[in-house]
Amino acid sequence: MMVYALKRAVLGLAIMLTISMAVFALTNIASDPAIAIAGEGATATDVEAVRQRYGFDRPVVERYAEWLGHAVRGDFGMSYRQQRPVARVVLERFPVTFTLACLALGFSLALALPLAMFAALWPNSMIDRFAVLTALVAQAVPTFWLSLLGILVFSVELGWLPVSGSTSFVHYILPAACLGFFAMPAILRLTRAGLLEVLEADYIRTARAKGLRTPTILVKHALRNAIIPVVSIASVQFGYLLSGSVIVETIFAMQGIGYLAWESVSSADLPVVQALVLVTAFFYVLLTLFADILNAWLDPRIRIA
Amino acid sequence: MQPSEPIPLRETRRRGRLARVIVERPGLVLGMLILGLIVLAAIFAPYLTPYDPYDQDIMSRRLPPVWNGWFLGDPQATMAHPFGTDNVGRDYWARLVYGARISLIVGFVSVAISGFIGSVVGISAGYFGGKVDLAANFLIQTRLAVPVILVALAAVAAFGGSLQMIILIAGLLLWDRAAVVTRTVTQQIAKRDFIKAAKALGASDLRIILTEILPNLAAPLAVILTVEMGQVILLEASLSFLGLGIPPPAPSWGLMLAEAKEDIFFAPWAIAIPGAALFLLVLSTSLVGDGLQKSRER
Repeated sequence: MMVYALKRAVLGLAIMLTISMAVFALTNIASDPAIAIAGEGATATDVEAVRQRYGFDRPVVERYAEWLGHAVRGDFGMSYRQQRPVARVVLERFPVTFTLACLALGFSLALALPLAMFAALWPNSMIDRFAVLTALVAQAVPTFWLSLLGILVFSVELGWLPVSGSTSFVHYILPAACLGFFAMPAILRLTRAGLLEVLEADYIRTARAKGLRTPTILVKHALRNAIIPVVSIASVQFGYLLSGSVIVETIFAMQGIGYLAWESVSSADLPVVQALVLVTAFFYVLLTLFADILNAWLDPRIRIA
Repeated sequence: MQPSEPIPLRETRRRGRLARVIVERPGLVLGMLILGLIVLAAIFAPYLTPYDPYDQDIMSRRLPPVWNGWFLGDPQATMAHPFGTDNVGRDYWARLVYGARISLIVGFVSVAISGFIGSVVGISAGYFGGKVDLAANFLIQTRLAVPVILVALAAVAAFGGSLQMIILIAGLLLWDRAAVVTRTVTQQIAKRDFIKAAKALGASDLRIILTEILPNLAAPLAVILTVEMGQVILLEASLSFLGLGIPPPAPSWGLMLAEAKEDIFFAPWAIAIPGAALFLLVLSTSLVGDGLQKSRER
């Protein structure tokens, strides 16, 4: 068990290192940060001055090593645009996105789990077809279109919900629903498939043969085993929600990480972009690591392989 | 294929087959129908509208679509602009059909790139196994940890937004599923006897991959790439919507939605129309992919 966890952790570390290199290359080699800081209409001497002041004239490898060394300690440098430490800028915005992602995940689970359960109980029934169709249709709905339609109906026509902002709980309802709708199809599909598989297992047949009632079987025997893949899907989806929030937060002007990402990319605030890509990737790696270890703990067959 | 099944006459079999496909796979047929119509509309766009998608007409701005005239009695609605006009008076129907070209080109070409990358990674992992498989697995895991929208936005900001750039970025980012699927299928095929036979005959690895494995991968790859095409089209639309994709004034559907967003209070139909088109296109790819998958499973 410890060996397995250690192996997975090393893999995660290697992934993070690779991504950090790619991010650094994208923001320092592909584009010239000095030109970005100097701004439009800057002369060659201006750019050269910026280059020296920020130390961009040093070798790339040296700069990368220094940047990574600081990043590991949580120091991502200064935001070009706000002239404040990047870490503080990101941390400030984090609670909004975290709340939004949690609400969205809750919303999609509340929608997907019951539907998947009924669908798996009666395969090929009307409700199963409805579930499959829902997953198919929901997957094709562009998140930003859904958000705009939501604003159109609930804010403009009905006037029930605010158009933008993130100051009160009411502001979160529409964005969380839109974001949750985006995560719902994957959860629905995989839970249904997992449950279908579990319901065919021998111990379910045994339980049925013993004369247990369907709800008892479903809750006590089937769901307990089918929940394992759901946990890993949900945690992975949570990582996706963090980056999926770019669109939703931008539309609803919520002061979260997604909106920050859009602002920073638009204004070439490279240290913030670097930090956001790294932090999001780190969350994803951490969540998959957590899910893998949890699954290995629950199912011994995984850790031997 | 079951040899015990009686073989019917060719004529009845062919006609019966088409009818059976329609009855058994309504989703597949519907998806192909929608996708086919959109492809046709994109190809024959100049014949479907007399307007140029870039021509502005300040005298007829924000005209509502013709059905607003039928059902709501809007006097501004006119058959001359059946889908209305946008905030600078460009014909919405013209922008829609020309915009289909952008979505489809992005979809097809990006998927060709990502399909190629994914196949190379997946096939080599599945065929050679061992260290190659470990390396490929690492590549796939790393790719999955990359936040797609964020990196795509950063890449567009660094290299500038253009049709070619969007296609390249999407192709380079979204190859993971193709790799996972080709890896699994190749692993299964590599164990089969005809691969051993080819090896015994002295065929080179490249020859075996190209002539024995690749043909067997075509069907599962087609399924995954069809679904992936929908996701690529959504990515392009999202990037263009955020202002970091196809640059204006191109009639990208995502861009049309971004422009319509400013007019949300005055022209709600301008949001409904391009979004519905996008939804239908992506839905059709899902339906076709799903239908092909089910046909394969039988």
